[in-house]
Amino acid sequence: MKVSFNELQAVSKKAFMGIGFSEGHAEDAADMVTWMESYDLQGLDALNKGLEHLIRHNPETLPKIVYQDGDVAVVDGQDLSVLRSSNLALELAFAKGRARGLSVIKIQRCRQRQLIMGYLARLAGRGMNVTAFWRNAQQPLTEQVVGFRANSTVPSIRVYSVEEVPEENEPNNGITIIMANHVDLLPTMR
Amino acid sequence: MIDLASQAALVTTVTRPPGLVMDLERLGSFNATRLSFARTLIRVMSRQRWQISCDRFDLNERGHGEVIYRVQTPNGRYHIVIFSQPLDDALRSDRVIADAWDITFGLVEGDVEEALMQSLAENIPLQEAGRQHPRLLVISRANKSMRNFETVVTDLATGVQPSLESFTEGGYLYRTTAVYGNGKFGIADYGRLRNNPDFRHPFSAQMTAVYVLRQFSIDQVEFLARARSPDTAVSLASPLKRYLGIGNSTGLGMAPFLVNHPQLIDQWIHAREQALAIAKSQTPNESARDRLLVLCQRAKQFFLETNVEDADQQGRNQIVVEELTGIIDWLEQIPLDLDLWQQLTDWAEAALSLESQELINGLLIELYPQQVDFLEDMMAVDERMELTPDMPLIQLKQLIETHFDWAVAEDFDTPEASHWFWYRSIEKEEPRLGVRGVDPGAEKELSLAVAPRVKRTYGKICHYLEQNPRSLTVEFLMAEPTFVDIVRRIQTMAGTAFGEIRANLWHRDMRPIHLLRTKLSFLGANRFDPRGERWVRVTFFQGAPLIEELNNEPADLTAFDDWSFPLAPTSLADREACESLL
Repeated sequence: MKVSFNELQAVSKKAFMGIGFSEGHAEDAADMVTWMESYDLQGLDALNKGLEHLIRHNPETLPKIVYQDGDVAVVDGQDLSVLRSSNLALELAFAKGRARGLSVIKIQRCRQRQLIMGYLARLAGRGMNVTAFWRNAQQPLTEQVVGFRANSTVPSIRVYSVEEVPEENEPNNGITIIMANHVDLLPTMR
Repeated sequence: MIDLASQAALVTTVTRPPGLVMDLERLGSFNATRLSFARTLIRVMSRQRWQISCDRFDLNERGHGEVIYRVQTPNGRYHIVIFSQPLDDALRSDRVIADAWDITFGLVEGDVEEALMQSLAENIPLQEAGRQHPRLLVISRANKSMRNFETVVTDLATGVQPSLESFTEGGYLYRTTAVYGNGKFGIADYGRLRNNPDFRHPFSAQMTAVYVLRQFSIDQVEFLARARSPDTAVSLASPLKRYLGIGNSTGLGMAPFLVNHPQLIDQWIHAREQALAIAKSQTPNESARDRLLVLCQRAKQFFLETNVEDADQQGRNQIVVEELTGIIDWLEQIPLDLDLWQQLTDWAEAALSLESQELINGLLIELYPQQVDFLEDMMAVDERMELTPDMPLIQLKQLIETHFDWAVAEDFDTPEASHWFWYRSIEKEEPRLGVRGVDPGAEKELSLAVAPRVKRTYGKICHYLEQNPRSLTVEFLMAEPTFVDIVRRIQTMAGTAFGEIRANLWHRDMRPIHLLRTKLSFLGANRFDPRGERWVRVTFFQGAPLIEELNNEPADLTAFDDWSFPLAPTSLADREACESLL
């Protein structure tokens, strides 16, 4: 069945509200899923993989700032989907990037990290160079780097297979995002 | 050649203040202007020499079957595919919850191959219940105006032209009940139209479909008359054809659009206000005064001829007629001062009804096509509300106090100020109004009332600032994440003048009918006929040039464009035209 992007966005938003998202967060989450689909990045597949967890989670649980200074923030994603935990954390990084030229934010303990790309695209569209890094836990171990040049919503995506698994191999379900107001962070990726 | 941005920059005239313009009752007094989308469409069609022809006309003797019209533009080809089907009188309903109609139709991008036609035939008649094809740009449906349709067919079949009474109340043979675009039910997303040179103006694809439907209504009654009585049947006289429009019945379903698209509304109203400011800044001359007198007289006659069922609206129309009489007398006698237009609008604002004020504003815009028509290209906008997370929270508070003072000033704790709540019905998800504390569903309220949300946000911000006086907006939102959408809206809309309708949509005295008329006026509707507080019937394209006139590639585009406030064809020339066909 063919579904328009408008329908996907509208139905997703209603569904997210149905599982306890506030209206603004439901809209952002729906935009993130729809953005993935618009770039053929299987947003619905990524959503479906973590859907049960997403539905089970207490909607009252919120991401928490663990640490922050002018340039850096660490946010506990509370084992939530990035659909729930990332939009405001990324806005926090955006604010720091604008103030200081460059900011780094680590969102710890988060799920469905592929889906964060839609919101990163949105921030890039607002003039920020954005690079995100995370390590996928499945075997073989892979690391993913996603970059957006400022004012472009087209992503550069690289997935690296990790040949030499490091001895320190604690579960790494976080995501690290670097934002630079003026500097193109990873020009060689393009 | 001056580009659009340069033209816009040249406009240094001062628009009216948002506090005046965005009053809901004033918005609910708007009429169509030359910048309305139906008017713009006809101008574009004539300028670009669009050609519209009938490709297929397969109707049985009862008028049921399939009809296809081809629309050829310099840039592409489209087809309007119409399905006409039997409908039990008892099932004929204007409600969105209806599931059967006299006709259903769609605007297709490109050609209609047999495989596509089959898919359209299976789905368009189902409307919302169908899975529509992505090459469809618009789908819609319409019901016959029973009082007119049968009379017109019978008259034509017996060789006489229908009486004018058949046209002056509604002025149409078919009434649409919803016209869908933008990805609804599987049709093409708006993104596909954004860069389409034929349909880059808002709602131009929808208006095209409705305009062609008008031709179908004429073709169908003439066909039925001939089928019924081939020996005596006559064609509808051209002046009567031109006096036919297409009706539309609109309910509360349109109201959320006005609230959910504030950037687009800002663009539309800003364009209208700019046009008014430009018109008022022109130096009047005798020619312009004469033209305004002609337009006033035509509008007066239009309202004299307009019979609507709603007594309140009929009364408002009567006041317009009386006030136009005074304006005409004044215009005929007043010296031609340099600030004549300003004198006129000052007088109207101080002494005349809102309907007359906004009518005069529309007529002033009509005087200066060369100066204002560039604004037709400034009606579209990429809508995106964005957060400014690094905005100091105290600045956000100040923005609310500056731009949303009207919301902060309201006391939402009184029973009358929180009387209504908006909700969505399960059946077809139609927006509705419930009485708080009486009707069930308040816990599922739609967030359409912006004013109480802004005031609540303001309270939260003030409280947070007491503890965190130097915080940023994003820090407030991390603590109060459910406010993200309204904060985003406040920050975005503070940079605009005309996006927010300054009304408490919870208030007992709020009239949703004004919301509907606001949008309908921009679409180009006239003959507003409210059916209670939540429905309105209007007419589109009444008086507009016919397709045969368009196909003849008119030489005088100014005359072709001059079809506002259409009058009943009672002039000598019109009567002669009618009689020559008898």
